[in-house]
Formats: sequence, structure tokens, C-alpha cells
Amino acid sequence: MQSPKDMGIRAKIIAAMIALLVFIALLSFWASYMHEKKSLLTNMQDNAVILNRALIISITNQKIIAEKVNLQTLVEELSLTEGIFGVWVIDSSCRITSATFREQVGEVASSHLISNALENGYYVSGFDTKMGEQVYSAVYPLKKGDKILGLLEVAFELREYLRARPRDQVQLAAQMKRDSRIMAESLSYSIENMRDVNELIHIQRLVDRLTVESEIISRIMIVDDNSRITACSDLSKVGTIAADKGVKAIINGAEIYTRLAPRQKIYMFDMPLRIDDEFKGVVSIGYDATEYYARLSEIFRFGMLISGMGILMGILLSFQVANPIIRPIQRLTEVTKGLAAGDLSQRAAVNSKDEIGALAVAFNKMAEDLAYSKDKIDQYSKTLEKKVRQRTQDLEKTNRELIVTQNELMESNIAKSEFLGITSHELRTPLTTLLGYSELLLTRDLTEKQKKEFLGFINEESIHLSKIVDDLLDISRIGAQKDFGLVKKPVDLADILLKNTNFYSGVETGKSIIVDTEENLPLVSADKERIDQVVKNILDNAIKYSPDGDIVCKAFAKDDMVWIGIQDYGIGISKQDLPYIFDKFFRVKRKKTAKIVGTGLGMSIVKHIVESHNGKIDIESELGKGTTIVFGLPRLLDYVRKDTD
Amino acid sequence: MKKILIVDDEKKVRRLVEVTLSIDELEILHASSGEEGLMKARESMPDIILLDVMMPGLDGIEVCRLLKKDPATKHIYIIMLTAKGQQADKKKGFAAGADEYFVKPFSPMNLMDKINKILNK
Ligand SMILES: Nc1ncnc2c1ncn2[C@@H]1O[C@H](COP(=O)(O)OP(=O)(O)OP(=O)(O)O)[C@@H](O)[C@H]1O
Ligand SMILES: [Mg+2]
Repeated sequence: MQSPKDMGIRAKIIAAMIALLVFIALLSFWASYMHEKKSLLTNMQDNAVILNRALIISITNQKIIAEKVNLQTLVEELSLTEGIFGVWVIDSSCRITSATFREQVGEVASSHLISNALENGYYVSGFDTKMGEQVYSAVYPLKKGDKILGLLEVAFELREYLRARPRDQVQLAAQMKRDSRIMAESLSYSIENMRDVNELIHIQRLVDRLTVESEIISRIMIVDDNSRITACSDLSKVGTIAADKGVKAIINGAEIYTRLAPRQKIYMFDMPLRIDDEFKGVVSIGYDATEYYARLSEIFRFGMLISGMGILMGILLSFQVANPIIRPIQRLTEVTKGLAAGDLSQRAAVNSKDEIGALAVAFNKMAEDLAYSKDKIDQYSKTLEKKVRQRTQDLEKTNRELIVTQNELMESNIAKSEFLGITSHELRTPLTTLLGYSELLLTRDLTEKQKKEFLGFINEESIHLSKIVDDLLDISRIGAQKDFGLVKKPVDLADILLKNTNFYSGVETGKSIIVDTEENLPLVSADKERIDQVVKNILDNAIKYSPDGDIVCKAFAKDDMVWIGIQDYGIGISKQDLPYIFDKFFRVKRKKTAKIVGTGLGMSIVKHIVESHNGKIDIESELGKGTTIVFGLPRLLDYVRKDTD
Repeated sequence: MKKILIVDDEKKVRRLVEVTLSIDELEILHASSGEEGLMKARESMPDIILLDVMMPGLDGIEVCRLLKKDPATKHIYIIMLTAKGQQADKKKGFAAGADEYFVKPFSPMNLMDKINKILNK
């Protein structure tokens, strides 16, 4: 079973409609049932009142009869009763013996009712005309055994009846028929027993007869003002005290007390018994309510039938009404599920202009918005992805660069400390010489030869020291600035080469330097001092690392560049060492070079200077055969050479 | 006569040591490389070796270690002679078995005093 929470909207709507319809049906049924019940009760009560009144009249009459024993008086007395138009006592030969209207006594009465009653010996009632007035007449045969002694005719006024609506008239007629019979019956009984003096017995007999003969009375009880039962349909109760609620209520002053006893199907009806306005006791009548209950259950069954049909119709109607409401919602639900599952192309069908139609339209709008936003998000995430990828790549690149930089830094750190070691060694060696020999010169008695020798050492080492200091200064400048403050001017490379070769030829190197420069070399834009340094370094190496052989220098133009080449026939450089020649602090570690002073910075400075002039440098070397270094700088194209000298 | 071996790739330094110690009666032996120093030490068994650390080829530390490892030469008093005055190099030298450390540049007078102290012990 589904719990109400799990029920679909369809089931909920139908259930609600059914519940409502059932409620309405039951309510209307209950209302009509109560109405019916009330009208039935009123009817019964009305009857009971009449019967009671008749009974009271009988009892009262009993007294009057006892006192006056006069039929005519009795008739006249009865005539005073409200609603009674007239009373007639007719003998078996239709002669009027007593009448409300005295002048009629002795006359022959004739009416279809009278002749009917005489003929059949039955109670007859019906509409009639008396003294020119419309009445409802009841004729009751007065009998002794089977023999008809005469007739009692009681005519009721029709004033109320005539005023009533035709529909009510039918009911009134039926009521009058019943009432008149009871009244006539009880009166006839009074008349029949006119001579019975015993009040109590008479009343008891009246009670007996009424109970036995009346179809509508199941029980009668007469109680005196002391609650003692003086007459009762159940003889055994006579003389006992009545404990009835109704009796008590009447004795306590109530005018009327009614109640239903559903089990016995009796309508209990209590009224005070008054004779000459004096309270004498209680008349309690048990009115047969079988018919009432039968009618009631009939109404109930009918009502149930109608309600059931109503509910059935309601259920059918509910489905009929619910479906058009629910179907679009169900469709919408399916579409929503599709949407939730990710199919953003889902759209709801718009079939109506009601709220559901509006919902579908709103839904479609939402779906479109969703699809649009999703597109946007997709696009965005794509670009985001791209961006992220780009960023990641950038980052990776930066990382790689950082690692490279770090490695370089570390290398340069290692190189630096190595450099410090080397420089400290290189510095301390000349310093040792300077300090040691100068101390010897100062403190010892030396020969002139020794003095000269030692001063020569001091001079040599001073030069060496200044070279180291120069290199260190260059290196520190290169470390600080990329182009280390180049001052570029038009320069003739041939001049620089010649100046340097002259200098080195002048120094005693034991080498011949051959210089070959092209005529009218184009000028280059360069820092003269720096290019001078480059040539000096290369030339210095060529001399340092070549014990034998000449040095050949060239200056020439080629491919829009001006070149200087310096070739030696010295120790050369091995293939393994060649790639590191331009690295800072690099020196080939071999026995042959061990005694050659240097910091390993010369070539790195050279390369840096050449490249900062947008130039090129190249080295060719073979171990044991020699080395050639060539570097070129871009020529100054639109420069007209001025021959200064 | 006491023998002193000076091992240094720098000729000027060797000459300086030679001139400095020439006053006393000492025999000064020269070696311009680690290999030569090792050979001469085994050959002539000097009393003291002045050993330069920074040399191409076999360096001073290695020469010291080899000499101190060899029972025949381990008794030789070795003075490490180097430009490197750093703590790490001192440690390296002592780990190799050096007896003394002498830092370049040095005063010839101080060197003389040191040598005399060692020889008079
Ligand atoms: N012409 C050459 N022949 C053979 N080897 C050379 C030549 N030029 C350079 N080298 C080798 O390359 C190394 C680096 O040279 P670089 O000029 O940078 O340093 P260096 O000459 O040792 O010192 P310095 O800073 O005094 O120039 C040298 O130590 C040497 O081993
Ligand atoms: Mg050089």
C-alpha cells in the first residue's frame, strides 16, 4: 500500500474529491433523514395529543355522566370541545335522540355516512355538510354485542383544513380520519357506559378497550396525583407507584413529556389529567411507533441508496475531472525527470491557458535558461580548462626555469666558492712572493745578484696580481650589469688588433706574431676598451698555451661583419674540454697547464663582451696542434669612413 | 745535516723557502709536483716536508696521506703549506696526517722560527 505521502497527485486529487462528495452526500442524507424523523415525530405527537385529549374528555365525561346522567347534556358538553362542530346521537331508526343543536332532536338524520355506517356496522368517516358548513364527520356505531343500538356522529370543524395548502390537506385529512375515529370511539364508549358509576373500573375498561382495539395504542396508564397507577393496560401494575420519568416530569409541572423507546418501538407520551382545571394525575400513552421506525428505516435505506449512487457518480466524476488536470502535470513531471537526467532539450507541451499551461510555459523558460546557463558554464569551464592548462604550462615552464635558475645559482655558488678558492690561491701565491722576498730584501744582507733576482720576482708577481685584480673587476661588473655600461663608438678592429700585437711583440715572449689586416675594413660600433680586452685575452691565451710556434692574427670583412682571427700552434684543447672553454672559472686541468697562471675567467669575459656587441665567436682546436679563435662584429653600414690621419 | 723537502708547483715559492732557510745548516730539496715530492721523500727521507696543498695532478693532501700511510715515511714531519687558510682544508690536512699547518702568504722569519723549533725538539 502506498502511504498518502507516496501517492501521486492524481490519487490525492481524486481522494480529496471523493472525500468531499461523500461528505456532502452523507450530510444531505443526514439532513433529510433528520427532517423526516422530525416530521414523523411531530405527526406522532399530534396524534398523541388528540388521543390524550379524547381520553381526558372521556374520563371527565365519566364524572359528568355520573352526576347528570343526561345524554343531551353530555352531547352539549362535548360540543364545547374545541374543534368539534357538533355531536349527534342517532337511534337505529336514524332518529336524532340528542344533538348539539337541540332543535334537531327528533328529526331524521340522513347522510351517506350514516346510511353507510348503519348498513355495515363499521366506523365511517368523511367530508360532509352540516347546517350549511363543511365538516369532517365521523360516524361510529353504538353496539351491544352485534346489535346496533344507534350511531354517534361527531363533526369536526374544517376551518384549519380549508386554510391549509392542498399538499398538507391530504395529510390533514388522514389525520382527521384517525383522530375522529379515536374520539368517536372513546365517546361512544363513554355513552355505552354512561351508567357505569364506578369511575376507576370505567376508566380501566376504557383503557383496556382502547389498548386492545386501537391499532395505534400499545399501552395506556392513568396515574393519580400521588403517582399511584389507577388504570393501566397492564393490569398487574394498577395500584403500584409509577416511577416513569415522564410521570415524574408531569407531576413536577410539565405540560407534556415525550420519549421514544426504540427497543419496544413505542412512543411514550405523558400529559397531565385535569378535570375542571384541577390537576388529577397523569395520562401516559404508549403510542405504537412500529410504523415510525419502519418509515425511518425505509427513509434510511433510501437515503443510503441515493448517497451511494451519489458517491459512485462522484468517483466517476472525480476521475473525469481529475484527468485533464493531472495529465499535463504528469507530462510535466516526465519532462522534468528528463531534464533532471541531463537532457536539457526537454520541453513541456503547452496545451491549455490555465495555471498548468502557465506552469508549462514557465517551465520551458526555466529549461531554456538552464540550457543557456549550462552552455555558458560549459564554455566557461572550457575556457577555464584552457586557462588552467595554460597556467599550468606556464607554471611548469616557470618551475623548470626556476629549477634551471636554481641549478645555475647552485652551480654558480659552487663555482663562486671554487672561484674564491682559486682566487685566494692565485692571490696568495703572488702575495707570498711579494711578502717573502721584500722581507728578505729588508732583513738580510744579500748580494746584488740576489737583490736583482728577488726584485724581478716581485715585479713579475705585481704584474700578475694586477691582471688578476682586473679580471676580478670585470667579473664583478659582468655580474652586476648585462651590457656592463658599454660605450659604443665607431671602431676600427684592425687598429685594436695591431695595437695589441705590437704590445705583446714588445714584451719578451719569444714569439713572433704575424698580423694580416685587410685594407679599408668597415668600422664597427663598439666599446673600444672592451674589444681591446677581448683581443688581449685571446692573444694572452694564444701566447700562454703555445710553448712553440708563431701566432697568426687576421682582420677581415665577411658577411656584413668584421672578423678577427687569432691562431696559435700550441697545446690545443681536447674535444671533451672544448665545450666548456667559455664557462666561467673553467680551466683545463692538465699537467702542462698547471704552471700557467689564470683564473679561467678570460674566455667567459670574451664571449660576454662579443655577444653584448651582437657579435659571434667561434673556436677551433686540436690537442697538441693548436687553437684558432675567431670573433666578428656587425659592420657599420652607412658610415662613411673618415681618414683622420 | 737535516734535510727539508719543499714541494710546491711555484718555483718562486720554492726559491723563497730555500733562501729563507739557507742561513742554518740545512739541506733543501725541491719538488715541483706531488708526484715528484712523493718520490723524493721516499728517496731521501727528509726530516721535514713543506707540502703545498694546491698543486696540479697529485695534490698535497694526497701526498701527505700516502706518506703517512707508509710506515717507512710516516715519521716524517709534514707541514702543510697552502694559500687556503680555511677551516675545512685544515681539517682535511690534519685528517690526512699533517703535523702542522702553515698559511700562505707567510713571513720568512716566522717560517724559520717554526722550522728551528721543530728541529730542536
Ligand atoms: N689558445 C689556447 N690554447 C690552449 N688552451 C687554451 C687556449 N685558450 C684557452 N685555453 C684553455 O681554456 C682555459 C680557459 O681560458 P681562459 O682565458 O678563460 O682562462 P685562463 O687563461 O686560464 O685565465 P685568465 O683569466 O688569466 O685568462 C684555459 O685555462 C686553457 O686551459
Ligand atoms: Mg686566458
